[in-house]
Amino acid sequence: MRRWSDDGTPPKAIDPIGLAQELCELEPPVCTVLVEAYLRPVVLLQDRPQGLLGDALALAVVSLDDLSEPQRERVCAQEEPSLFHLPKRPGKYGLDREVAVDLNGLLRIGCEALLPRAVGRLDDNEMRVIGERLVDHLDVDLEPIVARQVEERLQQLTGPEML
Amino acid sequence: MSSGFRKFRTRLLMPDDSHDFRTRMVPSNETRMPTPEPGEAIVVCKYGEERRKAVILHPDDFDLFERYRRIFGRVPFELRLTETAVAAHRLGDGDAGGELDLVSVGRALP
Repeated sequence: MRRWSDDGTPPKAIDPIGLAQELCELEPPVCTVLVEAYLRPVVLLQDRPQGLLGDALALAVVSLDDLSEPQRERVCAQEEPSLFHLPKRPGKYGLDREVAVDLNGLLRIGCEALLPRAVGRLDDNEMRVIGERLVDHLDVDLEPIVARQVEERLQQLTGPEML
Repeated sequence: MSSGFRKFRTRLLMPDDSHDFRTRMVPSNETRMPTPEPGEAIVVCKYGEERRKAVILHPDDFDLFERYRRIFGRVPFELRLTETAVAAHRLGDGDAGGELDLVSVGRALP
């Protein structure tokens, strides 16, 4: 991370602690940092058609090129729960190479950083699988919701006097 | 000891699953124990109501609790990450200098 100064001095490297200390002394506590920018595909997790929040949630997409052959084979066989394999299908996924959706790569992206057109899409079934795996990856505790739904279902089946 | 009991109806909450849950059997003639009703947890308190020493459940509720533990018991996902998952994630982070799929970028541009 590099801190940008508008006094003509070159940008200087800064760590998060140094940046926090500098920010505490600024009024308003805002500064400009230089970041690298590059293009990469992502999988958007939900439609936000109105763009009210100004950002989107997405999962990173990673190339399999630099994995070892056994690792790549495991991903292709969908044996890696963290990596949802997308084969090379430009007509469906819009990418000219095989990739994997990285379920550990949850991103929050400003809408202005997204290119305007989606190049492809995952179907409902694929998104359902990703959603189920994401719950596991994020350690989301669904127990209270599931238990409540089970209780409600039992109540429907047996009547309230049985619970 | 009886003054240390506090009764209330409660939903069963899942404990921290970071440790195994053991069951210890104690003969009933070796202890004086209140009899909980189904759906009732009896909390045995120490120092007034400041510290819970034990919680007594009806056997049916304990069975339900064990069933929930089997269904929902899990360890943090980070402890289940595979080497491949970590390698792919790190490679993805360092993808800045990777080969650009210009055809796909072209599709995304207006």
